[in-house]
Amino acid sequence: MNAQQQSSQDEPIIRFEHVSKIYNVKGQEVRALDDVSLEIRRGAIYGIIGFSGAGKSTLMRMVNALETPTSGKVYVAGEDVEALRRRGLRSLRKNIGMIFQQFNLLESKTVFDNVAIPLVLNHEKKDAIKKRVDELLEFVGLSDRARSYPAQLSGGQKQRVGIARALATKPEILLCDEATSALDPDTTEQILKLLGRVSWELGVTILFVTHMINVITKLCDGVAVMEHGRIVEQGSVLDVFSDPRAEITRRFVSTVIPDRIPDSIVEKLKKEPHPGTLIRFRLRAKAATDNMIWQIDTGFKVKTNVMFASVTELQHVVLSVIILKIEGDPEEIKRVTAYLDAHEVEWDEVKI
Amino acid sequence: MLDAFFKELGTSTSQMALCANQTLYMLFVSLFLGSVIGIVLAVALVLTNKDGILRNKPVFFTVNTIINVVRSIPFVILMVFIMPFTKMLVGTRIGTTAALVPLTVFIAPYLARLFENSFLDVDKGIIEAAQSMGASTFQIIWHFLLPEAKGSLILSVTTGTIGLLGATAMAGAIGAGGVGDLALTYGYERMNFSLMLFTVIVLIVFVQIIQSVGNHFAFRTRNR
Repeated sequence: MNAQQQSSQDEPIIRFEHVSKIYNVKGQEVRALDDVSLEIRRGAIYGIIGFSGAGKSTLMRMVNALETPTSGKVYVAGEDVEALRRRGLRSLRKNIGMIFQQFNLLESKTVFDNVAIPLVLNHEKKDAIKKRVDELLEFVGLSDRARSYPAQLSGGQKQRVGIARALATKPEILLCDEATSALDPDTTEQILKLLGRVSWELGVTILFVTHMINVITKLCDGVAVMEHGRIVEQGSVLDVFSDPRAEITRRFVSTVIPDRIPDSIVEKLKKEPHPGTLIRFRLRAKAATDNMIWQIDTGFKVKTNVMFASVTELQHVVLSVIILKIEGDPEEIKRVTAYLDAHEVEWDEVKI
Repeated sequence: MLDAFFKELGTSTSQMALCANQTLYMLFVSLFLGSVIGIVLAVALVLTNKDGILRNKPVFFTVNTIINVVRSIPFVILMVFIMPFTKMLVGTRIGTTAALVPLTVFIAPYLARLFENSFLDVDKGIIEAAQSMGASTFQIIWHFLLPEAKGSLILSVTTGTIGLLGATAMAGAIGAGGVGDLALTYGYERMNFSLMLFTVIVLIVFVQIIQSVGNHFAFRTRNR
């Protein structure tokens, strides 16, 4: 709540400016990050997706100075991380919580003591710690497990403890490093819901690094796609995933939004003497979905046949992908595509 | 009854009590001093190694080499080799108290190695979590490294104690007394086999007790 009242509301809370990271491995230069620039606005739930080795974790770790850039600048809440680092990591890191894939809880301490640790490190008073920890355990729904040890908890419960611990010092930013990648789908869903509450109820900005696109579609509002140390695509989740441009984004998106003709139909089409032209449409709910095919059928001298169709909900917007086989005179098909362009329908031709 | 038993063995209750006392004194004093030095050395190794948070090649190399050098010297030789140092420190070369010096010098690097392994077993992620909270180096050691390694450290101390018990027997050679000395001078040299057998049994029982106590506390910290 405080975060939103601040005057610097429009200023991005995290800003990467031309950040590069170069490692020297046995005399060979390895570019882990290559001129990355990215802005994350206050209160956002921002996802960074990429396969392992894409540099996404390295990028995130620069926010709390666990990694330092070889060149470029990182700003948190308008301040240069490098300058903050020199003044003292404590003040910087107190404002940034972090949760991990393997939870990283202390096995030797109870749930209560695990959550209390950041407060103990800050030398806070005992009763203040007790009050805050009880509050946090209540928030994550683990009040009854305060006296348990991590070994007695399920993966989902452990991550709840991790979240409570990360929030103990009331940070403005929460970094999530593959935080749901070790959890089953049901538990992942619960943790994502909890992170949603962290965002809505506490106004915490969340930066989530993952290789799982489900997490991004369910939780995030902004996304950056990374490959080989570069950001290949970025924007709102809806824009990026409804119309993926980069090959890697298409690969990620195709796992949640099917957009390919099944192999058996492809085989059949290949055998046909007149395969026609295959056009793939990507439609958002508000577009002229209901009568587009009818328009083509009646307005042009072509024959259409639906080869594939899928409907997916993304960020409360319905996305449909339809692949239409259009047979007819090449000139007539060109008129169809011109008509699509005129109506701003996203389409591309599918080659088999 | 006890008096009669020890008399039968060719010794006396008071002598047995004295020997046991000397052994326990040597064992626990040098164990305590060795553990403190061992922990310090082990922490230094873990912090300064190539993945450590205070990565420092010269410090790591120096500590590592010292430990290796001291550990290469057999205890019997170490004992006489450092006699001038012993004299400087406690004012005498012989006797139970004098034996504490070589025993500590012997056990500290041994424990340091065992402790180092215990610390290396602590998940790197825990240290990263500690750093992400802004913990200082001291806080990382005190609040994360030590508690997480506790069970394993207790087992290391147990192993060290048993190794040290063997060394205290050899300390008899510089007049330190103790159970080992009893077995050698009264058992072996006077060919009193039953006394030797008795001391061997006592040592076996003692080692069993140390190991059981160590396991008990180690598992209590681990399996909660």
